[in-house]
Amino acid sequence: MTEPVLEVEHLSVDYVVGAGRFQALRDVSVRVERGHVVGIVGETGCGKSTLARAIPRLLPRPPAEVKSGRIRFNGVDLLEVPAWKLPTVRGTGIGMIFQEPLNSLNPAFRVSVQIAEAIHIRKLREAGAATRTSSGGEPFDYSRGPEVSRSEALGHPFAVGGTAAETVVEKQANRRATREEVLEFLRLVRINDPETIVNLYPHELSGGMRQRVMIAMALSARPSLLIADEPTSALDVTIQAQVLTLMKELIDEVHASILFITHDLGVVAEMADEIGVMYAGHLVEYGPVQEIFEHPRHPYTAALLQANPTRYKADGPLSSISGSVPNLSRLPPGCPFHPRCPIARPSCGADPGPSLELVPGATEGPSSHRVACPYSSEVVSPV
Amino acid sequence: MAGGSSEEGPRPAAAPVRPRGAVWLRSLRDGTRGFFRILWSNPLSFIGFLLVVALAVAAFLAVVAPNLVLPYPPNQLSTAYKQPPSATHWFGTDELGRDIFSNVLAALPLDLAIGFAVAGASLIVGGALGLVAGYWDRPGSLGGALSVVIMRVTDIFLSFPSLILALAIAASIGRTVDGVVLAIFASWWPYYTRLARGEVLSVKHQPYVMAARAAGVRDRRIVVRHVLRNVIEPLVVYFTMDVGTVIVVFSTIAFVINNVLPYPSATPEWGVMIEFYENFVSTLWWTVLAPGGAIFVTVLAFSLLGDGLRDILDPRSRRAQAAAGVPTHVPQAGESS
Amino acid sequence: MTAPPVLEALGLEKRFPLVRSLRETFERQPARAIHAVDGVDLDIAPSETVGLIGESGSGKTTFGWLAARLHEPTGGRLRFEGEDITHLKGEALLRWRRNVQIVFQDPIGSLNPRLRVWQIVSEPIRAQAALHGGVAEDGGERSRPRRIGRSEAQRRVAELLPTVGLPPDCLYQYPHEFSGGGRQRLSLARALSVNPKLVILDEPTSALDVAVQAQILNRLVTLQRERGLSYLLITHNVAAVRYVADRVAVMYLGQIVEIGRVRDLLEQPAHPYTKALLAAVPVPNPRRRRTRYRIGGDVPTLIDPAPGCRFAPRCPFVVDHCRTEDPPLRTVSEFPGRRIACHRAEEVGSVPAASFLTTTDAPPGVPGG
Repeated sequence: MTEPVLEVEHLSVDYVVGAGRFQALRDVSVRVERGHVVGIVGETGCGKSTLARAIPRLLPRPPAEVKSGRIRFNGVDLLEVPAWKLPTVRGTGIGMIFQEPLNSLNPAFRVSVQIAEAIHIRKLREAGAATRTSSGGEPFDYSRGPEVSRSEALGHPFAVGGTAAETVVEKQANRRATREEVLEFLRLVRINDPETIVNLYPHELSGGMRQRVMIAMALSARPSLLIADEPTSALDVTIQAQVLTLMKELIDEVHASILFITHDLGVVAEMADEIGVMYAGHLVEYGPVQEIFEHPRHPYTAALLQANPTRYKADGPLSSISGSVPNLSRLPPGCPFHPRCPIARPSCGADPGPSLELVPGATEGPSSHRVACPYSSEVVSPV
Repeated sequence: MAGGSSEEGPRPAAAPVRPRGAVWLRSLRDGTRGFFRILWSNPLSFIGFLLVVALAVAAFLAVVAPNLVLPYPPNQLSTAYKQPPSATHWFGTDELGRDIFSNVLAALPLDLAIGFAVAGASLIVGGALGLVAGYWDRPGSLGGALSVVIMRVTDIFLSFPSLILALAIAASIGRTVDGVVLAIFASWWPYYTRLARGEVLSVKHQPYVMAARAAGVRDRRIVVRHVLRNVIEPLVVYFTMDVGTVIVVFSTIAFVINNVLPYPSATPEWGVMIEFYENFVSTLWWTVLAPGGAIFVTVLAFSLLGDGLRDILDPRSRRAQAAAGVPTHVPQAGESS
Repeated sequence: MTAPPVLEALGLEKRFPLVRSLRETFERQPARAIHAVDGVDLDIAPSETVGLIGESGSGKTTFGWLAARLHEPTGGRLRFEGEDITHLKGEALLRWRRNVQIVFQDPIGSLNPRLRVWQIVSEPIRAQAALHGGVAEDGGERSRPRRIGRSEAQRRVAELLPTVGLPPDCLYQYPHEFSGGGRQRLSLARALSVNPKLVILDEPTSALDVAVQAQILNRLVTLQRERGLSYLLITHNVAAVRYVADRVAVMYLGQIVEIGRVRDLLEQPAHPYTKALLAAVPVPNPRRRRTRYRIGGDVPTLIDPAPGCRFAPRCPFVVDHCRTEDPPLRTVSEFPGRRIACHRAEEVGSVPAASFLTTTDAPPGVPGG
C-alpha cells in the first residue's frame, strides 16, 4: 500500500489570548491518500480553518500554539521542519486555495506575474536550487508544459529577472517559456482566452474567473497536496457548480490530493471521497462519504444532516440542534457535544471524552468509518 | 441560539436586568475598570497616560498655587549666573540668574491651554462641518450644494502648507497669543473636516444606518445616534495626538515671529524661551534644552495616550475583549418554535 | 372581495446613472445608466411569503430596498394596500415606514456596535412614537406624538425578545456579545417591534451555519403564523426559499424570469435560467453527484442592456426572435399558476435541465474521481 500524502496525527492546537486559552483543535487525526479528496465539514468556529492553516504551518504565533501531534507530509514531519525551511514546504509541496479570491491575489500585479512567480519557485525546487524538504517530491502524475532540466535551471539559480550573466536572448527565451507555461495552466483551468486574461489585474476578473486563476496558481507549483478552504463559498451557485466541475475534472487529470474544507454539506457530498466532521475542535466522525451521509453514527453528524432544509413549510418544522456551539474557552468536560445531544447519558460528561473508534461492524482500514461516540448504534439515520 | 458563540473568543456573561437609575453609574464603573485594564495591558500607553496626568496636575498647581510648585518666581534674578543643572537649580540658570526649571514649569499651563484650545476648536468646528458635508451629500439637494462648498473651502485650506499658512495669518492679524492661536486654528480645522467626512461616508452606508432609516428615524437623530457615535472615536484619538503637535507649531511660530510674548515675564512660553536663549545654545545649552525637552515630553505623552485610546474607545477591540477578563459562557435561551 | 395585496410593484424600475466621461460630456451623449431593476411586477398578499431568488447582480436586493422605499424608484409604481406610495415623501414617508421593515444580511453590520440591545430593538418604536404616538400596547393607534421613556422602551423590548427566542435579560448587552444567529434574532426583534405588515428579509440566513439557519427559519415561519405577517424573502439560498416561501420569483439581471408556487416552480422549473440555477444547487447526497455542469456564454452588461431576452447569450434554446424582442412575463397553459418570461416556454418548458447542462448522475458507488 502506498504512503498517504498527508497524515495528521493527534494534532492539538490552542489559542492563547491574554490569560485565556482556547482549545482550537483537540486530538485531530486526518489522512489524505494519494489522489483522494478528503472533506472536512463543520460549523463556524469548529476549527476546520485552523486545521487548514495548521498543516502548512501558516497559523500566526502567537496566539496559536501547537500542543502536540504530528503532521506527516510525504513522510516528513512538518512540525519538526525548522522555520527557515518552511517557505519551500509551503510553496512547493502544499498548495492553498482560499475562500476570497480577491484578497488572495495581489491586486497590484497582473495575473501573469503572479502565476509566473509560482512557476519560477517550482523550477528552483525541481532544479535543486531550493531546499527540498519532502522526500516524495514527485507531485502529480502529469507534466504539461516544457520541463526544465536540472542543468539548465542550475545555470541560473536566481533567475527571477535573470542574472547579469544571462544574455538578452536567453532572458527572452526564458520569459517566453514561462509565459507559455502560464498560458498552459490557464488553459488547464478552462479559461477560454488566456492570452487576454494573463494581462489583466485581479479586480478586472469576475469571482469565478479569479477562483480559476487561484486554482491555476496553486496547480502551477505542482503541489502534492491542495488545501482548499471554502473555495466556492463566495461564489454564486451557477459559478460554484462550474468551479466544482473544474476541480473534479482536474482530480482525474492530475490525480490531485485535496483536503477540502467547507461548511456546505451539498458541496462536500459532491466532492469528497472521505469526510471528517468537526465539532468544537474535535473530529467526531470520519469515514467514506457515502457511509457518513447514509449511516451517520455520531449524533452531531445526524443532526447536522437533518438541519439542512429540504422540505416545504407544509411538511412541518425543520429539525435543528438545540442550544448552541460551545465557547472554545469553556468546553464542557467529556464529549463536547453532550450538552446538546439527544442520546447523552450522565457518563458522557466525564473526562476523558470519547476518542475516535472504529464503528462496530466496519473493517479495519486507513479510511474506514470511525466515530467518537460510544453509543453510536443508537443514532438514527436520516431518511 | 441566544448569546455567545465560539468564533470570536471570550464574551462577557449575560447581564442580569439591572435596577434603573444605577445603570449609568454601573456602566461608568465598568467602563473605568475596562479603561485601566486596557491601559495596564499596554505599557506604552500607560506611560503616556501617567505623563498626561502628571502634566495636568503640574499645570493645575502652577496656576493655583505657584508658590508651592515653582522653586523660584520665574522672573526673579539672582546672583547664581549661568549655573548648569544642579540640585538647587534643576535645569540650571541663565546669564542673569533666572531659574530655568521655574520658567519651564510656569509655561506649562499656557502651552497646554493653547494645545487644547486649538485642537479642541478644530475638533468641534472641523468635525461638525465634516459630519454635515459627509451625511447630506446627495447631489442636487441643498445639503449637496452645502457639502460641495464646505469641501472645496477645506481643499483650499489644505492646499497650503499649514505652518506657512498659520505664519502668514499670524503675521497679518497680530503678534499676540490670541492671534497666533487663531492663525493655527485657521490652518488646523480642515484636517478634521476631511477625517470626519471620510469616516461619515463609510459609516452612513452601514446596514444599521439603513435599518434606522427604514424604521422611520429622522435624519438629525440618525446623525447623532448612529453616525456621530461611530465617527467620534477616530476624531478623539486624532485630537489627543494633536494637542502635542499644536504646542510644537505654536512654539515654532513663537520662535519665528518675534515678540509674540514678552520674555522674561510671569507667563513664559517654551517657544519664546527657545527663541530668547538661542544665542546661548553653545554655552548655556541647558537654557534651550529644557524648554525643548518639555515640548518633546508633552508631544510624546499625548501621542502615547492617543494610541492607547484607540483600543479603549472601541468596545469590539480585540484587546478590549482580551483585557475584559476571564471569558464566561453565555447562557443560552431555549431554542426555536 | 379579496383584500388588496400588501405590496404591489408595477413595472418598478431603478436605474443608477453612471458618471459621464469627459468625452461623453463634450459630445453631449446621454448619461448611461445601470438598469438594476428593470420593470418588475410583483405582488405580495397578506400573510404570504414571496421568495425572490437570483444570483449576485440580479437586482434582487435593489428590489427589496425599493420595496422598503430605501431607494427612490426611477420608474413604475409601488402600491401599499392599494395606495400609491411610489413618491411618498417627508413625514408621510417616515410614518409609512412602520408598515414595512427590513432585516439585513450582515448580522454584524446591521446592529450599531455602540448601542445596547434595548436601545437597538426599541429604536423603531421610539422613532414611530415621536412621529405619531406609535402603536399603543393594546394594539390601537395613538395620535399624538410622544416620547417613549427608557423604562417603557426597556419593558417593551423585554416582552419582545422571547418572541424571537432571546432571553429577556440581555437588555444591556452589546451586539458583539451575540453569535451570528443571536444577532439576526435581534434584527428580527427590531423589525417586529412596530408590528409591520410586511417584513423584507434580505439574505437573512446567508451568514449563518446550517443548524442555526434551521432555527431562524423555523422562527420566521412561527412568527408569520402567529402575527399574520407577509414576508419578502430575498436570497440565493434555494433551500431557505423552499421552506419559507409560498410563491417564488426568479430574477435574472433586473427582471423576473419566472414566478409561481414554490413546489411547482422548484420541482418543475420552466424557464431555462431557472433550470440552470436549480441544477447548480449541490445536493447533499453523494449518490446524486453531477459529473459535469457547464453553462456557456457571458453575462451581458447591465449598462443600457440591448433589447431581447437577457438570458439569450447563455441560453441553449435561443432563436433569433429572443435576441430582438423582450419576452413578456406571461401565463403558459402547460404551467398553471405560473408566469414565465420566455418566448419558447411551451416548447422548452419541460426539457430536463440535465439534457442541456450535460448534468449526469454518476452511478452509485463510484466516487467523483
